[in-house]
Amino acid sequence: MTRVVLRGLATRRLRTFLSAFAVVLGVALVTGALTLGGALKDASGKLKTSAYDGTAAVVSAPSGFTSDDLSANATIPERTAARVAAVDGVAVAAPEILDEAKVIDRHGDPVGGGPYFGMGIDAQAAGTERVNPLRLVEGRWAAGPGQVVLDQGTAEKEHLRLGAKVRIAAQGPARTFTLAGIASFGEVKTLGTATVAAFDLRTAQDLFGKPGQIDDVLVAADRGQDAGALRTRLSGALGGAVAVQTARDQDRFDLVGGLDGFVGFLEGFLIAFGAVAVLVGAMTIANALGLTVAQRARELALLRATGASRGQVLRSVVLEAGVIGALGTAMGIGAGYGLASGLMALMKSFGLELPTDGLSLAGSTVAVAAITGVGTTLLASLAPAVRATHVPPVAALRDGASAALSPRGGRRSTIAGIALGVLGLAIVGYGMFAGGMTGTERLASLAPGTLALLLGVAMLSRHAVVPLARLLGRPGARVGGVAGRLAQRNTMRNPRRTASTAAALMVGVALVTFVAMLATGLKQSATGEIGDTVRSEQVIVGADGWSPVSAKTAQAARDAGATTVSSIAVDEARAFDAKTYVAGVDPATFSKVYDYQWKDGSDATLRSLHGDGALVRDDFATKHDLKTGSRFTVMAADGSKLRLRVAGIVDGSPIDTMGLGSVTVDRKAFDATFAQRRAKLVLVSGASAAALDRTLAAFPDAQRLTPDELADEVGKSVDSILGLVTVLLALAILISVLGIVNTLALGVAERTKELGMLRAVGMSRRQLRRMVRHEGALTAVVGAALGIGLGMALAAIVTVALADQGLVLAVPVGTILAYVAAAALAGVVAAALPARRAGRLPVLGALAHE
Amino acid sequence: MSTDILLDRPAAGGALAPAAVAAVDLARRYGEGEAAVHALRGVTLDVPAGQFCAVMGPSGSGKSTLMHHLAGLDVPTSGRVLLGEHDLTGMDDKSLTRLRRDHVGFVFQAFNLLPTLSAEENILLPMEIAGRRPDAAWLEAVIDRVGLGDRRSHRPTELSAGQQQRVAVARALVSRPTVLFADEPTGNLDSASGAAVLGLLREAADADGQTIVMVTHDAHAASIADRVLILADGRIVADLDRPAEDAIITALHEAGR
Repeated sequence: MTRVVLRGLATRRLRTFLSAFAVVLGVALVTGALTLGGALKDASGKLKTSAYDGTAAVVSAPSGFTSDDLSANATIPERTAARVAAVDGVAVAAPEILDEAKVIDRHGDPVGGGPYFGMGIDAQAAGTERVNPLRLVEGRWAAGPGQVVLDQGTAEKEHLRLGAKVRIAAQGPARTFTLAGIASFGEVKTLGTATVAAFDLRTAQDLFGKPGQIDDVLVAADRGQDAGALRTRLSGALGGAVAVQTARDQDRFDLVGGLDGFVGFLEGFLIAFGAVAVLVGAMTIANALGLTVAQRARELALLRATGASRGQVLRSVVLEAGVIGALGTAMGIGAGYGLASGLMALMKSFGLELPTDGLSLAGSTVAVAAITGVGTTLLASLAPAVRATHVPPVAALRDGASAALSPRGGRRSTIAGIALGVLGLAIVGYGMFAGGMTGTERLASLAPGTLALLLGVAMLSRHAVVPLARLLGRPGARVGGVAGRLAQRNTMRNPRRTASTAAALMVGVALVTFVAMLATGLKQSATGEIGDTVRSEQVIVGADGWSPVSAKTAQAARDAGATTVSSIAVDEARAFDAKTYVAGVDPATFSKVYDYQWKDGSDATLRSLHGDGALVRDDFATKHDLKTGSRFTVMAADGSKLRLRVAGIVDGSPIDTMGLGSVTVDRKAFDATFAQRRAKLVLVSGASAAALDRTLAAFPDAQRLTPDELADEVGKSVDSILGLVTVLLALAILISVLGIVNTLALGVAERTKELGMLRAVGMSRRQLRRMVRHEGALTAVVGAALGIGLGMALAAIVTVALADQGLVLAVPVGTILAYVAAAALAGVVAAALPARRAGRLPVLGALAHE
Repeated sequence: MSTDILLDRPAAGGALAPAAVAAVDLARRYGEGEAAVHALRGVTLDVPAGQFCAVMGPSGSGKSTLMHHLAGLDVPTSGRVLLGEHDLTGMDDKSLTRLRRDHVGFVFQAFNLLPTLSAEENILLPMEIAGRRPDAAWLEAVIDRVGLGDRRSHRPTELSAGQQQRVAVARALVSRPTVLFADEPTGNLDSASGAAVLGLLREAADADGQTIVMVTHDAHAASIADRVLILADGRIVADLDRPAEDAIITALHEAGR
């Protein structure tokens, strides 16, 4: 029996190869995701070790929480370092500044995508190397006002050599420094999107506007000194004016919360695509095995007639799947290891460079990949295997044995399809509309619901194939002439087969459509909000679109002749025990250039905003049950509290396109509580663009945009995420194309005699090829149509459910038409090989074919 | 071109009728050296326009090979085939395809209808492939003649074997080919259905002057032809003019010796 199976696989080489390839891609994506995730975790671990582990304690200002914004944390006096050094058991007490400094490239743009670490540390002081996360690779440590040390990744990316001039933007206008040295961050060379610029302490204090102040003191313990005991002693000696923490707890480089969280998210994100690829691969394999069983019906019947049991027939099909799965998995693991670096390059091309220190294939990755690959293949083989056992032995002696196979279980699969579809809808509906869930939980419930819905629709799709092919085949029949019309008929000939082929494509297209719809909705709501509210002629924002810019840009705008300049500072805060953002505005100028959409209040409310008065966004008000006059408290990073009273409630999207936060207060109240001095946004009117560009030249980390351009920028960032998702889903679509190749090749083999007749009565090779291509294209377009319908329906449900989050229902018509065209093209490409085979058939041989 | 031939065609069986299809010293060898099979060893023949010619012979005599060559489905090792005004010698696949499309009609033993098309669509298929419009009156006449008026929208699976072969005959007739080739057209039919199909072919020859070349090994079927050629070992061994069934059986017997 085993030999029969292996011989069969060798005979049906194309199908074996295509099926195995369907496994390869899924397994490769899973392997790649896990390998990349492992590498990132490894890098993150090393970063933490080198950044934190030599440090027994960090002494810093006591805080309510650590702000994501490096420049917004409270400082301590520099002399604290001397007090720390005096404590018994302290070997090293290195004062440090950690703020934000952007390295400016040759084109005047900030390097990387943040965080932009700006360090001040006297690295050459004795013992400092024990607590300094940087290791000098080349040159010297920065000493004096004109010198800087950069991380190796940044220096290499910008091709900077020792002695090169580097512009760096911090609090004020950009300044030029000389590259004194190049350092690695621990052992890790690339920090991903992050950059590090290190100065000596004095220079940093000056650059970041912290004269006589430091952010923290890094402490190394004497040999044999217990770190915990030392921290207790430090707390006692220094009193309540400072906080003593472990470096990991303080996490000043945001490696524990930020980087680890990001790595986990990214790994999950990639694995999700791997799962989609595996699902589509399984559908493709099930289809391929189904085709094999149908084609081999007579052979299977012969086996049964000569005494093979049902069990043996079942095992033969499962064994075939096992061999395909094992083959595909082995290749997939190899390919996945290569894919990991490809994924890294892909992320990079979408602006997401990752911190890594080399890739390695972990045993656990291989195990997961093997279980995924072989497991899903075996699972996918079950239905075809069971169907194979239904071949009656007598079919060996009859014609049309394959016909005896197909109609079985038709009604059962319809009922199962309806059940799965309804279950999927129910899960999606519950996840979307049931109360008491966060947005993230709602989105998470989409995964199982969508899976059930996709499988259900896939099972039902054969009922849709005939009407869809009739409708969608019309243009092809018109363009393709007789070849097009025959192709259309062939597509409708075996709806079950066409459906199972198209269903695999449907999955990928449904997801792409779903994401495109949501992205378009997001973009429209975001850009709409900017258009509705911003009334200034120009807007100054960070060059990267999100990080705050120097407060001095406001003066630069005035210097350019601006009549109205309104600068908005935003800082992280805690309210109701949750992270939130608070904006500080100048009511007099802000009311001239910004139109709130009022829920409760009026422009007069804004103009008279002062003291403890606060404007809150309606979603924040609803969530915390606030009404005009309600009182609540926000806490700044240093732990200081600001008691506020709701003065008005404004409309706005929780997506918070411009990052203005959910609470707005008068700038005076803001400045009294929050450390943030830089501007998130400066709204400017009355100055020409050219004049503004001139005065802003000193601030390369800031950019001037019109409100429309700002909306475009937001749109671009959404597009870039959409692009990444589309590229990843394209892999799933590629797998489904393999399924189309399979089905078409079988069609050509089965209809050899027909093709011979067509050739005999005068059909040219070209017409024959065209017929196969049209069939491929039509099958693909049917799948795309199903997918687009399903994707749009899902997106509509989600949009309606999340309407209070500011999502808008939008149909990207152009994008969707492009998907249809791409599907048709994919079908044509899939048909290339089968079409060639059909075209090459010798007429007489084909006519004589049985 | 084809219409010219149709218009200029003299009455059936006329002595001076030009050849609709002819072969000159046609030879076909399959394989090389020791394993070579000589399917045709120098066949010269001439089927005048309007003639109904049956080709017979024992299995392996080369009768099917001869038909394939005359119809432009196979390329000879040496010799020439002339179909209407066309010399098939040296034609490439594209030209042969076009020639079949425009000048040849086929009736196969296994009917070879497309299951996805209705009876009428099957009949029109060769015209569609050629991108030609059928003459509506002629189409009606053909459908009427084969007796499928009420079944034209049926699929082949809904038709009996005899009906399917009648559809195939209509498909071959509707484009008024220079030559209609029939390969064992009654081979898969019971005698009544077979007789009906033969009657249709005879009628086409008589009423429309349709040239027909039919391969068969049924002497009764061959006896309705104007002329019966008997092949043995790749050569024509007998050329009978309107023979009776007995004469054919005798000739076949001799050829088989």
